[in-house]
Amino acid sequence: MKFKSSKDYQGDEYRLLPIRFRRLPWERDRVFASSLSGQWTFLTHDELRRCIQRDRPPQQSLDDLESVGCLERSPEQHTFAPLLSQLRTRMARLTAGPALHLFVVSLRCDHSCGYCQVSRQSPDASRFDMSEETAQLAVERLFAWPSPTLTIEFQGGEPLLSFARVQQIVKSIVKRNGMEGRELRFVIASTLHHLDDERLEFCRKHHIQLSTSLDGPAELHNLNRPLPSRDSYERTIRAIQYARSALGHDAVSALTTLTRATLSKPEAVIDEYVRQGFSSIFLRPLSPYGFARRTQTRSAYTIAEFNEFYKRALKYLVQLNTVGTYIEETYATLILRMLLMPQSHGYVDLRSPTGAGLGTIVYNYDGKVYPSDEARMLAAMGDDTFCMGTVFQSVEDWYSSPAMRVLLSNGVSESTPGCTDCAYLPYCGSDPIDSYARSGEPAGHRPSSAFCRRHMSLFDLLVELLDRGDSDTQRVLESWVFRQPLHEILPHAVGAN
Amino acid sequence: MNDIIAVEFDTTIYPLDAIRRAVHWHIGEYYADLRIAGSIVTLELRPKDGTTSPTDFESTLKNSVLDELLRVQVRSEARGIHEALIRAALDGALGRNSNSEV
Amino acid sequence: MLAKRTSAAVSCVSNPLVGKVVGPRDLANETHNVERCFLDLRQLANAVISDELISLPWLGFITADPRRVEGRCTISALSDDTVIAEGDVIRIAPKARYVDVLYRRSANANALFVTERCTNFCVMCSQPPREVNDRWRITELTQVIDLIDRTEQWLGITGGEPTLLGEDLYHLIRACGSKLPTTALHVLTNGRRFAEHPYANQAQNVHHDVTWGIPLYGDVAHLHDYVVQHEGAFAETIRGLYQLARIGQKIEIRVVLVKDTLARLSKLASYIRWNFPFVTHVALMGLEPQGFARANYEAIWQDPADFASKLEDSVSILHNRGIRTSIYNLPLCVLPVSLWRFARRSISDWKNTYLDACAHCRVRDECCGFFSSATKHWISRAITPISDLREVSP
Repeated sequence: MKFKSSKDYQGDEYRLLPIRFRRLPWERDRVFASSLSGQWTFLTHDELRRCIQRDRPPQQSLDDLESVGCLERSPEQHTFAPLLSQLRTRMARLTAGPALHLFVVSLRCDHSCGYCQVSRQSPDASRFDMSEETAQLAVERLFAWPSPTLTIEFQGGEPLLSFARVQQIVKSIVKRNGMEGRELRFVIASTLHHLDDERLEFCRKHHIQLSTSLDGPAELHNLNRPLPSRDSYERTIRAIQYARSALGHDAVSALTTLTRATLSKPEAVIDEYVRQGFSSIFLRPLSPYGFARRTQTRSAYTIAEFNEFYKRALKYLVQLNTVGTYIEETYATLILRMLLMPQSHGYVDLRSPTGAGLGTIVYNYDGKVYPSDEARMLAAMGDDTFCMGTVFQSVEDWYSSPAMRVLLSNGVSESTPGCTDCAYLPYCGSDPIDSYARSGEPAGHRPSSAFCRRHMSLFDLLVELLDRGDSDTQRVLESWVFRQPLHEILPHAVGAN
Repeated sequence: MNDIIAVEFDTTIYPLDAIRRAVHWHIGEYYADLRIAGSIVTLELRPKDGTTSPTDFESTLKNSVLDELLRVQVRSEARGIHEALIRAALDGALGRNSNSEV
Repeated sequence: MLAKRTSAAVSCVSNPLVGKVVGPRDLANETHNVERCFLDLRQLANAVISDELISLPWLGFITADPRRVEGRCTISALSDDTVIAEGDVIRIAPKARYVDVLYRRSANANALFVTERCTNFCVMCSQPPREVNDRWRITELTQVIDLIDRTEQWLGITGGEPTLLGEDLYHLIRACGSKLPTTALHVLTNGRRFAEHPYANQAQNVHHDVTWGIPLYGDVAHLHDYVVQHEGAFAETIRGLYQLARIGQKIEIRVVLVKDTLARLSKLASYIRWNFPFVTHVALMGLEPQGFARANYEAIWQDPADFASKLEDSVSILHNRGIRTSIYNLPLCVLPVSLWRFARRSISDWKNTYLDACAHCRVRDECCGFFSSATKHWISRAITPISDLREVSP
């Protein structure tokens, strides 16, 4: 019998597939190269150049690029099945339509948070409540798309102050779903201060989850979220415990909004979350909307300041995890998941095509419909550019609105100059509304936008940790991504390659 | 230092297109001026207010232009397959003809 | 290590016969018709061997003394008495002076061998393919399936390349499903035929618990194609994997650790993790020094002592993602202690052996040992008995 050698199966010819690359800021003669589907590899810039320019390309580099879907060697030996499989998964999400539906049931609220993006109204101002008719029409629109899972989130103001409306909507959706058979998830975003047994029982019955704000320990939280009684923190903690006792520990999640005051105290905020038994923390920066803009000089911070804070926070989180406290940072986990697994995620603010309008719809108390919460806040500040229409119109009307046209033409990063060649494109998103709010233009110069700079530095940080993070950090990050306890995560051998 | 940075490129090696694309990355922080004399292009970048240039900005710029050149080559080679892949993936996602590859 | 064949004197046989060996324990149970059984007289007390018993229409007898059963089919003068035991399914043929064991009750693994033909030609193949018409095997196997213990937990289907049987493979699998309703199946296949949609689709609902074990030798086409010696095999195998996944099949990926595959093993692990996270199991397998492997020793052999860290890295890539991973055919002493939990006693007992050095090893009972075909240059230089467990606690 005659065996061919390995050389007999290697040709010299190859064709480049779409490759995007970025020089590593921490080692500029090495690059991060990614394929259409987001699979990636490191190589030296010189190796990449030689492969692209056919200048004595190193065999290993050709192999590494082929492995991640960046080049095709012999067509007889090649298959596009892996690339296609991943691309199809991403696109399937598009055809499902919006899966996240936000109901702004009322603007009434009893807090006066400096960063409030909502233009709160006093607790008695009932003309800022969603009418029964509006709610009913919105429920009908919700089922217009085929998404097999639907998340319905109630926002405000304070939704618990309009609980009758919340109940009406939930019951109406559940009833309608009897014929539809979708998987439903309900969330109420609330201070939780107005919970009582009756409201909790309703939540328990319909498996409603609660999302609240916890900005840190008492002094930080109360600073950000003033009540006349100055005890927002104490009430929030009591309410979380109360809610958990009725609905279960994991039924309550918390979000933190970072202001300048919190930036110097990442450990304190994280400690508070650990103390309250949360296993995740979402460190998101402030956006420029609503009251936040007015109080901007006091609360605002630069990207550089945020990055410093974030690095410190990540370091502290890793420390906590290594001594046995599982707590993940939500945004880092989301991004790392995209780097390590070809998955879609449910986070509408980091998608291309944009999640606005395509992944989420907002039904405002006044019957107007918006493609995202940010668009609604812009409207509350007087700019209705992104209003898609009203609940009295059809979904087709919304999708042919000028607002939607702007979103579609500016909301695809693959065709946005400045994004189209970015190596992080497969993991990033397009947010024309954010761009418009900050610069007045839905496209703008992406590389200098706050959105880009914030995400670029986050991607760089996480990729650097994947490249040369210490073993503990890498293991902790993997435990977040793969949802395994830390002791199950094996270290990667040094010098294995 | 907030001085003007001036770099020369030979367009027989670095096509104008690559230079323009490289400049695009920086127009948030710089005013750019391109002067063409025969096959030599002089690129002048003037920092906007608040911009501080890193010390090795000139070499970063040259690297940027080289990188754009590489991207031009990738694009020209991969364009056809890029479109075919997206089309095939869309068909598959919409449930049409998911059996074949491109 | 127990052979699957023993020479014997076989009398009064005019056709090949397949039958179940019945001894004292099974006599009472009567799970199979006597017409399909060989009565094993070796174990029976004389008092039990009545004329009445012998007069039943047994297929034949296994006996030291054929004269007791004049005129009947007998198997005697076994060169190794232990090869055939109660519960085994055996085959005898006219003029053949041996008995083959097709199913062994006491084995740690049993497989149905469906064909010697194959569409790959792997450089380390332990069962080199032959272009023969061996359709008779399928026919014989349908008889064998009838006689396998219903309590058997799992059964392999192997070859050659089972999908060469076409629809008959599915018939065989369905027969296993109906005759052995609680037995899991494990089919070893190169997976290439499943790139054909109509063929793959038939795998849906063919069996209540079947796993397809498919080898993959590289994250790049030329590497896999070289190892299996067929241009285009990688592409077909990958497509086949996706087809099986599309219809919800259980898939195991098997990686035999030949030298060239080892060079990119971590990348292969990453490739599997990214592209096939749905696999139910990944097996990283030491070489079996049999068949083509012997001829290609120089091209394929790497001492396990030299690839320990690659193995560690690859296992962590898969395990951390939650993909069940195993190491086969590598003795514990050549593995880093952190990998011991992944090592399995993977070598079929009939070809399994230990070295003299293993006699005093504290972990011998947990270790897979060696292939009985292993000669000196197939054995790692790092083989050493573990004498003190305290030294090796992870």
